[in-house]
Amino acid sequence: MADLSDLALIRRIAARDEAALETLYQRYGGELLGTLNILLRDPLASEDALQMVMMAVWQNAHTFRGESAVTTWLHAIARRQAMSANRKTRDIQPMPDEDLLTADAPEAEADGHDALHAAMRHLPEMERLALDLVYNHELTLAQAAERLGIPVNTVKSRLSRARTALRRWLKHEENDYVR
Amino acid sequence: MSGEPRHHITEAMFVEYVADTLDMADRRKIEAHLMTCESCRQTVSEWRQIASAARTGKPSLPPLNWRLIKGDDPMIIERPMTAMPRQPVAVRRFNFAFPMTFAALAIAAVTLFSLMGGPSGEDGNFGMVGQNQQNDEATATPLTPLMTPTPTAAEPIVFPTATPLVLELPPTIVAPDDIPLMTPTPALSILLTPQPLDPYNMVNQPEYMVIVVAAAADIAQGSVIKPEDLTLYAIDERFVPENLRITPDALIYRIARVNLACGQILMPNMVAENAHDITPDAADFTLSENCAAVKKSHVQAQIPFQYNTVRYYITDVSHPAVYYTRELPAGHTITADDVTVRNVPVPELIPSGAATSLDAVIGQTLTTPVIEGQAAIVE
Repeated sequence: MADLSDLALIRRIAARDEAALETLYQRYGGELLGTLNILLRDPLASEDALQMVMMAVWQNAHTFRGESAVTTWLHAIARRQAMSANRKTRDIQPMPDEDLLTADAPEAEADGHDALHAAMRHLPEMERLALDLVYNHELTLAQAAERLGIPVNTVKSRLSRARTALRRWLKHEENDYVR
Repeated sequence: MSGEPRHHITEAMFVEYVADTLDMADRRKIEAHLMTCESCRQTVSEWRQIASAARTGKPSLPPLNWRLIKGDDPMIIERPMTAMPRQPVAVRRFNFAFPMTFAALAIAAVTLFSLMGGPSGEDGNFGMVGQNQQNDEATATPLTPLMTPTPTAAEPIVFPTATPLVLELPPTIVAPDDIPLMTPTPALSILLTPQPLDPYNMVNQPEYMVIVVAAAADIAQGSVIKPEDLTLYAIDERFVPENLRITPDALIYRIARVNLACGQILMPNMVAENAHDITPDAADFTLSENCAAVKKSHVQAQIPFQYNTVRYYITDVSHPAVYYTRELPAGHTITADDVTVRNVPVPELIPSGAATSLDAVIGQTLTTPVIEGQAAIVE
């Protein structure tokens, strides 16, 4: 099962193969959960949302037409699920202000790595998702673009923009490269 | 590699270099370049900082919640709809020109399709898939009929009247002038809501609704189908197969060829233009009680349409069953092209014994003729 292609797994899931769903889950659950964590900012809600995503996969696998990569489809479901969950809780928990990058947020007073980490939370979601996919899940930019459903050049320009936005928190220090 | 390689290296390559997802050749190229370029070293340094801050670690995966995934969790079933269509779909009353697609989806189900079998119905073997004609229980994987013969079903069929049914419309039913009785089913397009119901939630909200025609009440075989007998279901477009299409005017004032169950989605081959086309059903049944149960358990909300009666919005479409895709004669060995798996919105509409996977059916030999849309019954 582990050596099956994504598409083969989806076809098996459509035929109600539970092991195939488990395999797909092991293969992509981590990056989906990472995406949900970023979008929902709540680990428990993310785990719930991940189950809902897998339920959607289980119920809708037969509708997957193979016009996009399986990973594109999975992440699209996850993002939809997150947006839906966010809408339900928006009345209760106001979303963090996205403009803090340009404001003097208290976090900006903190120092070094923590400050950078805090500042990154205010990057646009697409950029945070891309960073998560690339640095936590070791995907290439092309793979990240596939997950995000956007052209790879867009990912590149977004990441370039992210570094520019974060420059204020980046240390300009001599690195350890030998001349 | 010295000289001016600056223009050969993009920031994206630094991103991947830091992520260690580059291939060896590109790594070497970058490392060689970094030896000579201070500003790129700074860029890499910044990306290392960003990567370090971004690396929160992979979250640990919880086990899959199979009860929820399979819809066994009552929390899911009872969860209220979060977004209903905000505006009714504009459907002009009695102007059946509105585009309409017909689903072969929840077909058939409880109703027998003895249309092709003719007299073979009398032994209760409609739609039966089997490896021998005798339905010998001792053979390997004997397949059972669509409806297990019961003492009632085995008794000689008494058709309501010995003479052909009266073809004239009952005096109380007057077909509107603008509905020609014999209009061919027009070409179909899919009716979409003006806006997606909720494009961000695939779990509960279909992106697009397709209107399908269903029975609003039990319709006895041989009776004239009146407008009030029909209702429309709005079903997620993704779950509607494309091979069968119908509009209400193809059904109204036609004659039911078979007993039609409340809630059943109707197909063109379920109606006849005159009573001579009707083959008596072998089993009679009523779903009156079931109808209420179906609505209670599977219909989550009502949509206020303008057509004749209440429309139901079915969200639970996760019940697979195997259906024939074409008419097949007895003795035919079933191939992959002959059958398809469809998801039926209402499990009560799947006949008991219906195959849920193609593997159970392909390669088997039909003992009776079957028609398109009929469920494949195996044990």
